[in-house]
Amino acid sequence: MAQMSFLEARNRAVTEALSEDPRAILFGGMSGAGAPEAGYAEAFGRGRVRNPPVSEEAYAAAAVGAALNGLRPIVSFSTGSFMFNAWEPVVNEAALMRYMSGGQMSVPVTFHFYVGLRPGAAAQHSQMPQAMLCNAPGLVVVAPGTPKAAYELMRTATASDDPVVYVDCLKLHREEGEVETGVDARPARAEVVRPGTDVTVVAVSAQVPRALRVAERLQAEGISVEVVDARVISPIDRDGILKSVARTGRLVATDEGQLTCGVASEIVATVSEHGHDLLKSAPRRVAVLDVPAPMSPTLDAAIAPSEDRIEEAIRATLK
Amino acid sequence: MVRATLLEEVLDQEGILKIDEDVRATVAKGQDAARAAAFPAAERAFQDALSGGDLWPR
Repeated sequence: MAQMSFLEARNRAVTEALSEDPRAILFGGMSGAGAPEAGYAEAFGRGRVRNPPVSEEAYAAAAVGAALNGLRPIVSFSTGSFMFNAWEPVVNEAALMRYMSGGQMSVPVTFHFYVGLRPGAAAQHSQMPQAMLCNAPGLVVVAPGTPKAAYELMRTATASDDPVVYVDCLKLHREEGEVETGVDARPARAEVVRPGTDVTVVAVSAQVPRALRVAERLQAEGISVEVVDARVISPIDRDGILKSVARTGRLVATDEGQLTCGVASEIVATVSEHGHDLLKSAPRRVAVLDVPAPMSPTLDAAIAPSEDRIEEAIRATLK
Repeated sequence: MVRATLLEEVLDQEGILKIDEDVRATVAKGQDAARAAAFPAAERAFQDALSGGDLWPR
């Protein structure tokens, strides 16, 4: 175990994937702590590490073709907004090829991008397409909320024969935590990151550290909050989430994505459908308001699923 | 290709029609076998949507 940042943990997993398997290739930029000092291209060669032109559909489609021919690409779109330009190869090719070939073909690609509100990024650079991708059968969607999850989910994604979307968030990159590196891919499930007895908060991505901070301050009032890192948002870990709700009887689901038909909505719907008898009060959602992301940092803060809104939701479940 | 085959005298018209007939018969045989087979249960019909295994929740 070693202490490291979210960014370092993610990059170490990418480095291990490229080191261990010559079929692994990388399209797009990944850098920073945990990456090879001189960069991935220097470390693994320009034949395996490509810096593609700004044409998301072209390089995503090239990655799908490479995967169908035996390679295991990792593709970074950078900002999630840019991923819309690659919708066709991701949701209509990679996601469906296995089913359409009766299991004879697989498309082991890891698609990576950043989501989340960023002050000043404004509407066109702040899209949060994670829930839209959960609506694409054949895709796995992961969204780590801790350094440990950043490492483990990248290891699992790159080891899987399924196309996986890895939802990253810049706000998490400096979060520190204990991570065991150099280990094989593990089954990805929701994980209790703080045990509690009164309320379960199922948090996605950047909402995990926010929920942990709220849990810490409510502890002083004697309110015990269990925080669950959802980790896999499609297919959702229904059993793992229900186990936590069975312990606490209350649920808040939170995601930095749109509220309507969003990931938090899916978590609440799943628990309401399969664990209604476990609930002592109505579940709550905390997500981004259903408006375009504003340029103004003040307005940005007003629509965000903030710590205050998580706390308010927790208190509402306790009334 | 049919025209080229005839012009190059690789096959005559009768030979071409025989290939066509053989292909039709093979396709019909495959369709008959598929239609006669038991319809798969829904859970089996979609098992190839993901590769399976225990890496992801079910």
